[in-house]
Amino acid sequence: MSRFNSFLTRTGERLALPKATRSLILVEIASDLEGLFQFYLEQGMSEEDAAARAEEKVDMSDQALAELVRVHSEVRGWTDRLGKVAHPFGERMAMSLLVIFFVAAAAVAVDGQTFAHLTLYIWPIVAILVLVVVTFARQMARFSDRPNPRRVREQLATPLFLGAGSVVVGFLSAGIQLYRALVRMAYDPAGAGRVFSRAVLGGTATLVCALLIALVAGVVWFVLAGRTARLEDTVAGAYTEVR
Amino acid sequence: MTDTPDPQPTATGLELDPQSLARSCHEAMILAVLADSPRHGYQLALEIEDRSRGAFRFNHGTLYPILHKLEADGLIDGAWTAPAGKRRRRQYGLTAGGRERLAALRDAWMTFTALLLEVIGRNDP
Repeated sequence: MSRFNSFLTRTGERLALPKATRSLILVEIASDLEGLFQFYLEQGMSEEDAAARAEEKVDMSDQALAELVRVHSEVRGWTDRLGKVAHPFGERMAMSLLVIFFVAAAAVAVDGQTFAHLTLYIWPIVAILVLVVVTFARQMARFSDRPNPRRVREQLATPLFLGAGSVVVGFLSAGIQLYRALVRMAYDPAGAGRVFSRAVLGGTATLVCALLIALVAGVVWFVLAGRTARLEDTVAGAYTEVR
Repeated sequence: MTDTPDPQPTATGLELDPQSLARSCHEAMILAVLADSPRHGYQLALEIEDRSRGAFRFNHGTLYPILHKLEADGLIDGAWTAPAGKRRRRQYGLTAGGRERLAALRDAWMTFTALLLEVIGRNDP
């Protein structure tokens, strides 16, 4: 047991932060306490006085604690908080059901002909899919390379933004297809039916693919968020065990 | 409703409200000490106290928010070190961005102190 346990417990209770973040901060404070304790011992103080002096020096005012919480809340963006929320069993089940529903719906909607109807707007969507895969591979590689737990959440939101980009491109594609069809129909009422059906087919086929790729991006983000949270907890646990 | 204007950087490059000055001063001292070599949090505070001949006594508790903000901004980099047989410790070092920031802060504080001395050093007693 550390001689500073009660001090650290009191400080931890005042830190309104997620467990992993709080643990890492407390371990840092603990190591500084030990360092200061040794320093004061070398200055000739008794053990009791050195421990009391170290605690006094490291004690954090309410203002400093609030500032620390603010700094870490800034670092952890809304997507990170969402990632934490997605951890409980119920959330994981809901996410799984959502994925199954979309995949089943897509299986019904998408067949070989769907790809024949795709418009040129599929290329930006394919590029987004490639970026999602690259992001996933890079993050997984970072996890296996002893990452800095405080910086492991950097770029975690990238798949979400890519997914949002895919949705935007999909809807834009459908909108543009429809607009162009309407313009052509205005000048060529005789071929209106054919033009309209081709536009709707192309637009919706591209939109379905865009939505599917957004779903893939969402799943990638969900997996990475879970891995990140587990990694933080593991690292925090390992450091907290050090005495 | 009263509207407080945001503090604006002045000719010195520093925001002159007391809170910003204090923050900038702490930041400059921490970056300057880390420019020499990486250090642990408590070593930083002791070094600043030593260099200032006891004038700047850092409560270590106030150091953590500053260090963690500097790290989040990419100006310093923290890493856990584990000397043989000793407790793991968090050590901070300066990044390239931190060096640039330190140079900018040095210039700003030089200008600030020079201008301040211009004002208060005119009349000899």
